[in-house]
Amino acid sequence: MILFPPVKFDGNEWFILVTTVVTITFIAFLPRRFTFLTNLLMWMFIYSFAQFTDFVIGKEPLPLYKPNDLNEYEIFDLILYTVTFPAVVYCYYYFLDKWSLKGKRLAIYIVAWSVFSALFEWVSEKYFKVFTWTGWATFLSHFAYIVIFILITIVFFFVQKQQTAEPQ
Amino acid sequence: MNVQFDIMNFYVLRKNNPDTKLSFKRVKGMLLYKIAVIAGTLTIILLLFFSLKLARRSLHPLEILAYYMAMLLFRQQTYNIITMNLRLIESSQQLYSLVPVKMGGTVIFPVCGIWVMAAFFSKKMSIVWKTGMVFAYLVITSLYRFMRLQLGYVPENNWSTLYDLVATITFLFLLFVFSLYFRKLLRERRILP
Repeated sequence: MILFPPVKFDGNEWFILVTTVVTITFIAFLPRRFTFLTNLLMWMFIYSFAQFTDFVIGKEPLPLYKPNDLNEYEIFDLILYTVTFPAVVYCYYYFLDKWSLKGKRLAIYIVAWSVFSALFEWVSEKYFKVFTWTGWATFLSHFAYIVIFILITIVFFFVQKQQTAEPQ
Repeated sequence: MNVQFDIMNFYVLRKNNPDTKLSFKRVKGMLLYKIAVIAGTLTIILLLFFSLKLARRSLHPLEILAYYMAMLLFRQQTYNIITMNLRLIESSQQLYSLVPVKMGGTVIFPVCGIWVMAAFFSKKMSIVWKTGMVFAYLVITSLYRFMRLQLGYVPENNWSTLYDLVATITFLFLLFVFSLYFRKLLRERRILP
């Protein structure tokens, strides 16, 4: 099968759907701030990065965790990569840009988001089985998210800077 | 003899298997081989990344970023399905092969794709050079697959050279279509003249 459906439509699927709908509804109420180009590039970055990470440390030969029900590629994995993660990250760079964060405030913002993300991931693992950890731990997620948010910030600033630069 | 062991377990392995021909020299050699494979791949990856500077002569930095991610997405999406779900290619079981298999595919294909796009949109290059770049892309990606097969990292079940060639050409075609759309977006934003 090209993409597997869920084994059973239960906690993890509902968690993904509710999180996605709530985040998208929240985004819909936010004033439009970015160009389509920015959103497209950020979406591509999150999608490729999340998929790359999950298929490097989430599958053989280094299966540290398992997203969703199966070891195979599921429809809900795809929803996570294409909708849920990019929507959450949109909120991250929306407020990053709105509050024009730099220096210490930016560092605090990144740490705050990594703590929030690690806790959110812990809830999703503990109560909803969105992830099944087979060698991973919450404190590792915390450090991983710091790196991830730093990367997202670098890419976001790069994309914004290049759009305001003089044409070639 | 199982070759999947590490140097730390060498003495335990030899004690448990007295008739084996394991020698410390051989284990050390295998470890050095693994380190050489990882170091070699990382060197190639770094060189490829540095080569992207040349692509800036004909591509905008946002184009390089976009084409890299587009190529990565096309390839990842396809190969994850082929490997995980359709089982046409087996997942590698060797931990040290993770670097050449994953990183190689994640860097070699997208960077080569960017080279082709840079050649295609270059005003200075002739049609012969542009065609040559497409052939170079096909040769490099085929060599990468050949190396992967020869080293036995990723065994293939029902996957053939022809399928791989079709997939590689399709990725390039998709990247080309995406690049036309992306350049249109950049012109609308007056980022490209």
